[in-house]
Amino acid sequence: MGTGKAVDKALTLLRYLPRVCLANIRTNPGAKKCKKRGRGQHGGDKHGAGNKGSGQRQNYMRLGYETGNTPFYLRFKREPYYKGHHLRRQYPPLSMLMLQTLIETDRIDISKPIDLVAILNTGLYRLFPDQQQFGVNLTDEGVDLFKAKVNIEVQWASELVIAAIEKAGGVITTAYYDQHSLQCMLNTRKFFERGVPIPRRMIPPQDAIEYYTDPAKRGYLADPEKVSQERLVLAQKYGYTLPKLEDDPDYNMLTERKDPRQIFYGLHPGWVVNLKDKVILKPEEKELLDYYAS
Amino acid sequence: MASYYQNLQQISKLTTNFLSLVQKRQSTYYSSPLLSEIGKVKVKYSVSKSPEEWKYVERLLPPLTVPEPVPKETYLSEWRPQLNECLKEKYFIQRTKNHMIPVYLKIGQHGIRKVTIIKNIKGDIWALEQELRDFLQKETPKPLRSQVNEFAAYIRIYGDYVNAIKYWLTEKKI
Amino acid sequence: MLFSRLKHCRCLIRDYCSSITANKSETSLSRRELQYPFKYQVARQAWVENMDTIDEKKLGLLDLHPDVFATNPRIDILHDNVRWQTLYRYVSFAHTKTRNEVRGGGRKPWPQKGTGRARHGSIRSPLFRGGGIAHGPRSPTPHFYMLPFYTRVLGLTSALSIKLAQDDLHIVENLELPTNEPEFIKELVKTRNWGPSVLFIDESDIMPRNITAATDEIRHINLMPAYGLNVYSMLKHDSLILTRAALDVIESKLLFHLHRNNTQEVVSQYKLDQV
Repeated sequence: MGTGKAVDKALTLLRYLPRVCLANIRTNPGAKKCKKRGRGQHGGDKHGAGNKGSGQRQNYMRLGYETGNTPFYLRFKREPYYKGHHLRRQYPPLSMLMLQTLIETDRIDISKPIDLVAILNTGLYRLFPDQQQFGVNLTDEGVDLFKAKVNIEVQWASELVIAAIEKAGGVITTAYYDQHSLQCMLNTRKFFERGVPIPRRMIPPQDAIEYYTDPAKRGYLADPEKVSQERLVLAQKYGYTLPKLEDDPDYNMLTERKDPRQIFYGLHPGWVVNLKDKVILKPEEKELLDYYAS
Repeated sequence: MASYYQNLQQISKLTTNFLSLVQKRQSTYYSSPLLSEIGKVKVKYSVSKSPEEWKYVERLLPPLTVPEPVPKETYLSEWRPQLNECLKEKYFIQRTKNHMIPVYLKIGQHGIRKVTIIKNIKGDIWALEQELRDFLQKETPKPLRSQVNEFAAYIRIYGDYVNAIKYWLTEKKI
Repeated sequence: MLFSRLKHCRCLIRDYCSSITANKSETSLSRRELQYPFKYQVARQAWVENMDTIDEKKLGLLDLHPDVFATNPRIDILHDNVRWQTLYRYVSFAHTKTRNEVRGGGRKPWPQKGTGRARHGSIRSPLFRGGGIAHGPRSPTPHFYMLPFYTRVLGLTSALSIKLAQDDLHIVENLELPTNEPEFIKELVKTRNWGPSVLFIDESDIMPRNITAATDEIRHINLMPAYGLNVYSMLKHDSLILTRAALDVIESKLLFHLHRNNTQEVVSQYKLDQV
């Protein structure tokens, strides 16, 4: 029906059919299988259970049992491949191409700094901290297409990715968030509704300190002077002119950074956010202030 | 023996003092006490209603509905918005709520069977199927197998032609 | 050919309506603004009628969003919704005794060998007459399950689309009746051909006094708040009457769910076997 533009075929057909009521409706053919027990020669007799043995007598051997010989799951006392697997941190990937798509579909606002909360709020990147996942790993898929000036904070980035973002005139930082902070960031509305003060972010563990203090990785604990030095190094390595951030009109936005103990931009640890009354409660006790400032 | 019990008593006193500070949570619903007013809060705190600080809070809250993309001059990624030029065609493919083209790959039978499915097709679905056939037949020498379901508004094509179809549709501004 | 005739009809109706509108107030002439812009699809329209008189008076014309009122009429999804609505709260109290619950049957009835009869351990095994039932019903058996969230949303939109397509959906300004007499509403429903059973839907559960008194005795004319809208009720009643406020609430809620940013909250709520 070429001219069936405004008028839907099925809905017009319904105008000439009896009223749809409880007696008129049914499922698609093949959707429901009747669970009748088979009888007779076909389906009945042994009912698919076979002859003798544990199959027919329903007394199966335990899972993994290999009729006497040492089973596979007991043969190897140690598997060094999996040593410390429960302690290894995972960073689920987010490609540069995906990031570019999110920016172009206006899911992420580049006029403000992008952090893990902004990426999680799109609903298109999922993180599970209880499964040893610690944040975003920005991968280099689509790195040659990337051309957006952003202030982005991720948890892991390779050299090529850092170079691509800095070439476009942006700023990239790698920061660590402990699992408790990540749970607060997953669903911010739910967290604020709990009425609990914003916690302090913890320092990275021993094996992560080296990464986050490295200026080459743009770690948030690294010396800013060394970071700017590394920016020059990368520009020379990949052959692009390093854009001057000071001359940029968005300089304030690009240099906006969080304190190492801060989880959210603009909100300090210890504050309680009341969403209903649109009010922030701040502690005034000396002990609490000292604790949250440490 | 006596000193042992004396020690125990001392330890139990210490532990009971400590336990009174620790938050106790009852194990069952019926055994736990009802909520009660804690009275005036003794800890000093200040209430701030500054709109600048509230802007930071609002920034953190996710949007409730999918934001409408603002049209731009150039696009660097593979995504293109749906323009009004697509209305000239005999058919119309409605974008998903995330503004994406509804072309998917279905893999079955342990990775052997690959089927491309195009959904949300309105208008003359048969014309779309013919045009797709004309375009995709050039890609393979094998005959193209497809299924059209007009009521459920989808076309299924045997094979992996997702990227080819998406490219063809973006060329047509659909 | 049929469609061109229908298009022509709609133009005639539009011209006709502009000459017979009862009140030329602001509400009647202003079209409803629809959220979430759409391409290709055309907004559906419905008359706004009055409840003051027995004969209907058209007070205006409203636009309805096609994503809610012109979706694919999925009869199978309606069936799934109706089945879910009836089954999820159903508890079966049918009960049979198993072989260990039936009185007696602890002793071996006759020796294993020598009698010439079949070997048995108890006279209450399922093989015996009067014995226990092997795989019978066990009370109470709940049949609770949750239909996926978007199947339920699609069920509501399909039902609304079908009601509108079959001329069983009417929009009314409000539910203020002039009298609280049941005869008035019976006459009204009869004259307007709204079918014997009618479902009135208002925004909240507190309805105007007259209509609640009038429909109290009549069992086939029911009142329902907007949050109570369900597929079973829509199919059970012949006509569905929405007030303007209820229409706004229902349409905005359904459209919100169709354009939600993060569906995981709502989709994974009743999912089984989640980590």
